[in-house]
Amino acid sequence: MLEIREVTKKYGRKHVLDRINFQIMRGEVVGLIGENGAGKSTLLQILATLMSPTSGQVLLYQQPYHKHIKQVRKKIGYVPQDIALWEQLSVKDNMVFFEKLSWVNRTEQQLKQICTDMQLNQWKEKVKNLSGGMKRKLNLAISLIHEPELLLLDEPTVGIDLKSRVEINAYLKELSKQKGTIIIYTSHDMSEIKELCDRALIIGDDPFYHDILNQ
Amino acid sequence: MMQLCIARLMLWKQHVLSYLFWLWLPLIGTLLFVPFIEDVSDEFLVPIGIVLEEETELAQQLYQTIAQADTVNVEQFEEQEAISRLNRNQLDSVYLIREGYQERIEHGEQRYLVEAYYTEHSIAYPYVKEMVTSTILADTGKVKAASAVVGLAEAHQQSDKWNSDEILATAEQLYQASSILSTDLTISGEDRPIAEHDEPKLYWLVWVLLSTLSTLFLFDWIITEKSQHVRLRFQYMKVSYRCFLLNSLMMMLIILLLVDGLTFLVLNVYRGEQLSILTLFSYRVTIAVFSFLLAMIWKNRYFYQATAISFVLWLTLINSSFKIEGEAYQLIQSVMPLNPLRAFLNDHASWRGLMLVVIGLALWYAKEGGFYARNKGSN
Ligand SMILES: Nc1ncnc2c1ncn2[C@@H]1O[C@H](COP(=O)(O)OP(=O)(O)OP(=O)(O)O)[C@@H](O)[C@H]1O
Ligand SMILES: [Mg+2]
Repeated sequence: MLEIREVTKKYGRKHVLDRINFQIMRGEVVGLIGENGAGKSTLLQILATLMSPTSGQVLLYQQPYHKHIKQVRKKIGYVPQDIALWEQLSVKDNMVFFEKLSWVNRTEQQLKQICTDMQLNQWKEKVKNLSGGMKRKLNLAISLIHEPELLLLDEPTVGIDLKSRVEINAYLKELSKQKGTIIIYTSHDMSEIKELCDRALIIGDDPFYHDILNQ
Repeated sequence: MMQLCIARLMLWKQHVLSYLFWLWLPLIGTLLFVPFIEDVSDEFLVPIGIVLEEETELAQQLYQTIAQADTVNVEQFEEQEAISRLNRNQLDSVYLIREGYQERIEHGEQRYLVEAYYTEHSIAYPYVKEMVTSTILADTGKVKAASAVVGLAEAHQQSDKWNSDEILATAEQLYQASSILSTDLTISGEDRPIAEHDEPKLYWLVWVLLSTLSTLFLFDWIITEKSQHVRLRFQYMKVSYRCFLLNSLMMMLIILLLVDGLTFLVLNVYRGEQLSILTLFSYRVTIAVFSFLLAMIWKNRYFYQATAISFVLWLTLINSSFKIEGEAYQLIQSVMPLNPLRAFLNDHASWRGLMLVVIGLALWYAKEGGFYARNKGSN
């Protein structure tokens, strides 16, 4: 279970997040929506331990972030909005590289399975030769090597064709069901949110989004 | 640890050819390049002129002694020709062995046996002066010693006691400081010491320049790598990015030291160019850590490479400065104490440089830790 208590974030004098409170259960898929600049990425980065809130606290399975940063990080998979891969290495080498540095041991077969599960089959291809959609899939696959309990995705399907998008979403849904992974992700695509998510959280106070969600 | 190394090798594997090139360039470059320089090295020697007014045995001997020195290139001229060449800067300095040279030596004369012309740009003058002085001292010494022994023997036969005053006085005469070379023909200028290492260890000089360049290039992957998004993933890994980099630095050092060990064997044992292994290894660690830190600071790879090349050109310039004239030479001499290669070329381990880069590395490590803390806190 992920608990967010009274989380506030200020950049200088600018309030981005103001006393956010919510809880997410094991196996839930939650979408974050809101206008541009509402603070979705900011919240995701706080949940990913990449920055700390100005006040308030976050707990993952009862462990407060600020006290157990190391243990918490072992449980997190963060898929950044920007592609974070070794461009000159192959798909396989990227997977093997991050497996070597991760907390877990996986066989090459297991690593390959993660990729095939999300229809990424160009195992030997160099990343720089992959299409944008395939890169996104690998970007996600690497974050799954250590089987995180909390998966955070920042606009994972932006700029991807429909087929890849469906494949990625199907995979995520399966993951939450099978492994009980908590998945939080941001998107501007309302139909996608409605299809994939158990619930959506609105960041910011624009009434427009409240209306849309209730439709 | 092992896994860190494997991970790093996966990244290096992509550029294995370029790394091999830079790793072996210093040794192979030195072995190919130095014999080539030595072939054309006459051009690099300081040209001096000698005017021989007599063809006696002693005059010839002196000429040969000077001609065999390995920092000068000697040519024989008529006096007028020599002076006009000196004025046109074609000669560094000119030495005249006057008519009657041998005869005067045989009479035990030591003063003004050879005359010299030199200018304020002359650099061979003090060196040749030394050489001429010691040659003439040796020649006149033989004559003098012979006559002194004869003289003392005679005195000893006449009186029963050795007169110690007499012996001392004779010895004094023998060791009297002699002004063999007349310097009153100076065109203009003053004495200037010849470059500090007048017999440079040519192999090690070329090697150290090439390996400074190659070490700098061997670390330029850091610049592209450290700015990539992928760095973010290390937050969720067993090791931080700074640990990974530190581990890579150690790996690179081990590889470099292995290559250096071989270089040491080839140049020291096979080519007979003496240098202590401590000097070699302390230089290696210093330049490798220096390159690492420089690459951490630099943001742009091309600027980094341009800096590396300029740095090595500068090193080349100040370490082969004996050909440079006038004010530029003075300028270079004044920065000589800062020459990073000075310790190496004098075969000393550079502990000060080593300490500086190790402190730099510690500061980097602390600061890099701070980067994550800050990033977490307020970014
Ligand atoms: N490092 C920073 N310093 C100051 N202000 C920042 C910083 N990062 C983000 N902001 C501001 O905080 C607000 C929220 O940014 P954030 O990126 O979280 O929005 P978002 O909801 O992800 O927007 P988008 O839908 O465009 O991705 C924006 O107004 C942004 O300008
Ligand atoms: Mg965003």
